[in-house]
This record gives sequence, C-alpha cells and structure tokens, in this order.
Amino acid sequence: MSIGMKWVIGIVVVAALGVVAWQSGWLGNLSQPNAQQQTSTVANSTQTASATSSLPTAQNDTSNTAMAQDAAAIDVQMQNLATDSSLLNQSLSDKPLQQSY
Amino acid sequence: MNFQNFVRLCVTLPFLAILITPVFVFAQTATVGLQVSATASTSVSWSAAVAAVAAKARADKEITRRIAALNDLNTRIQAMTRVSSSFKQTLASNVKNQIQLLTALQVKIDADSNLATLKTDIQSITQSYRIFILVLPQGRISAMADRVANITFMMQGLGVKLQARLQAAAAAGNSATADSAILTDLGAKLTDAQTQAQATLILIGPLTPDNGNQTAMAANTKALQQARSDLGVAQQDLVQARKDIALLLKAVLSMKVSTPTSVSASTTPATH
Repeated sequence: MSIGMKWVIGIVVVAALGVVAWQSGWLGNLSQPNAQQQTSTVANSTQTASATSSLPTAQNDTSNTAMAQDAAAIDVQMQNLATDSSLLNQSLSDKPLQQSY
Repeated sequence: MNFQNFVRLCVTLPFLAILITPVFVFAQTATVGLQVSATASTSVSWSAAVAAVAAKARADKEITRRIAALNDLNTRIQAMTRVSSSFKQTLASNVKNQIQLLTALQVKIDADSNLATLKTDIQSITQSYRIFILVLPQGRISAMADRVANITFMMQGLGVKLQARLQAAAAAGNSATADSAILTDLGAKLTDAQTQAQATLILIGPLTPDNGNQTAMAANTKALQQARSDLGVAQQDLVQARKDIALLLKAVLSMKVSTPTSVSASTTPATH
C-alpha cells in the first residue's frame, strides 16, 4: 500500500470519527458558547429534576379518600403559588430608600 | 486750667470723640465678625456630623432591607424541588454573594469616619441596586416557575388517577363523554403551564447585571416583565386545571361503580 493511500485512508477514518462525534452531540456540546450552554441548562432545568409528583398518596391509589387528600395537597400548593406571585410582584416594583449622599 | 484752655478742651473733645468712634466701631465689628465666623464654623462641622449620622442610618436601613429580602429569597430557593441542582446552585450562589457584599459594605459604612469615604461607600449602595433589582426578581421568577412545575406534576398525577376511575366507570356502563372533554382540557392546561414555566427560565436564566448600560437595563426589564407575564398565564392555566379537577372529582364520586380500596401512601405531602 502506497504512502498516499495510507494518508487517504487516515483522513477518511478521522473524518468519519468526526461525523460520528458531531452527530452524537458530543462535538456540538463542546463547541457551544457559554451563553447557549446556560440556556440549554435552564431549558432542561425543570426536565432533569424528578418528574414524579409530590402527591401525598401512592401513585396507584385511586380511592376517594386518596384523591381527596391529593386535591387538598394541590390546594396548599396553589395557595403557595399565590404567595410566590405576590412576592414576585413586590420584587419587580421594589423601590430603594433614597440615600443622603 | 484757665478759661481759654477750658474752651479749647470743650471744642476738641467732640472732634476727638468723632475721630475715635470709628476705631471702636471697627474693633467691635471685628469682634462680632470673629464670633460669627467661629459660630458658623462650629455649625458647619456640627451639621456635617449630624448629616453623616443620618446618612449612615439611611444606608444601614437600606442595606438591612436588601439583606432581609435576599435571605428570604435564599430560603425559598433552598425549597425548590423541580429545577436542576446546577440551576438552583447558581441562583443560591448569586444571592449569597450579594448578601456577603452588602454585609461587608454595611460594616465599612458603620466604621467610616472620613466624610469623602462615607460618601463613596453610600454611593455604591445606589450603584449596587442595579444588581439587587435583577437578582431578586430573577430568583422570585425561578421560584414561581418551580412551583408551577411542581403543581403541574401533582395535577398530572391526580389526572392519571381520575382517568383510571373514569375508564372504570365507563366500563361499568356510565357515560363519561363530557368528562373526557374536561380531562382533555386538564391535559392542555397542564401542558401550557409547563411550557410557560420553561419559557420563563429560558428567558431570565442568562440575564446579567447591566453595569450602568441603559440598553442592557432595558433588555433586562423587558425580559423580567415578559417572564412575569408568562407566569401569570401559567398561574391561570393551573387555576383552570384545578377547576377541571374539581369537576372530574365530582363526576367520579357521583358514578355508580365500586370504588377501589385505599392503599398505603408512599410519599409525603410537599409542604414547602
């Protein structure tokens, strides 16, 4: 096998590895700018957390009592959501105490 | 003294008095002037000291207010359950950094004895407000988005149970057509709430302090307001979803079908 042929095969192998790496996302991740990585992380931020619900009863418990308890737990969270909303509004309308100097 | 000398004295004395009076007046003015000058100088230093004390008190009040708000936010961040740990860690670090900076500034201002230094330090309170006004809403938006995600998962869990009961009821001969429509609406509302929550995090995650840049400040403000709006939509979605759940629960309870027996709970209620 000539030296030229070896070079051609070598280049083809390296290119093929590059395509595989790029398609698997490994190369793409490395080349992403920081801002995009941050956005990607944020975008997946609620997906990477456990997707299990925090209901107070077992997942397979479909009894009336269990569903009533689940609904009550949801209501507590809904009230907390209203509090979160109120605190968010406060933070957006915050005014600093004017300083003397 | 003969009469002639007496007359000369009487004539000369008034003139002498006239000549001497300005000297006395000048002397008196000079004395008063000194007194006034000394009083003014004392007043200026006294009023400067009073102003410095008042300025320190105002600075202290503002810094304490900000630290309290950031501590509250940090507590809320620690209770977040649905965002990734790295996202949560970033938020917490930003908040803690701000608390540390403000605490150090408060200590420095309290110890400031030089008026110029005090002025510079107090001015930095105003400058650092630009960071505070970004970090605080950023954290609050994240916390609310986390809550939306949590409620969405809970409602999805209950929705699955309701669906199972409806299917069992339908199999037992009950009509569940209308309830299926409600179930579909429940799913749509939960999907939208989740989408809105995700959108807010994408929007506010990369925001950085404007450092006095007006364009950056306007962009940050716009992003925060958009995120607020998105979360408002998500909240309304969940309110409607909760109404759907109430309707479905009522329907399920009214259907004639043998109800499953309760099984032991495997999880505990979320209380954060």
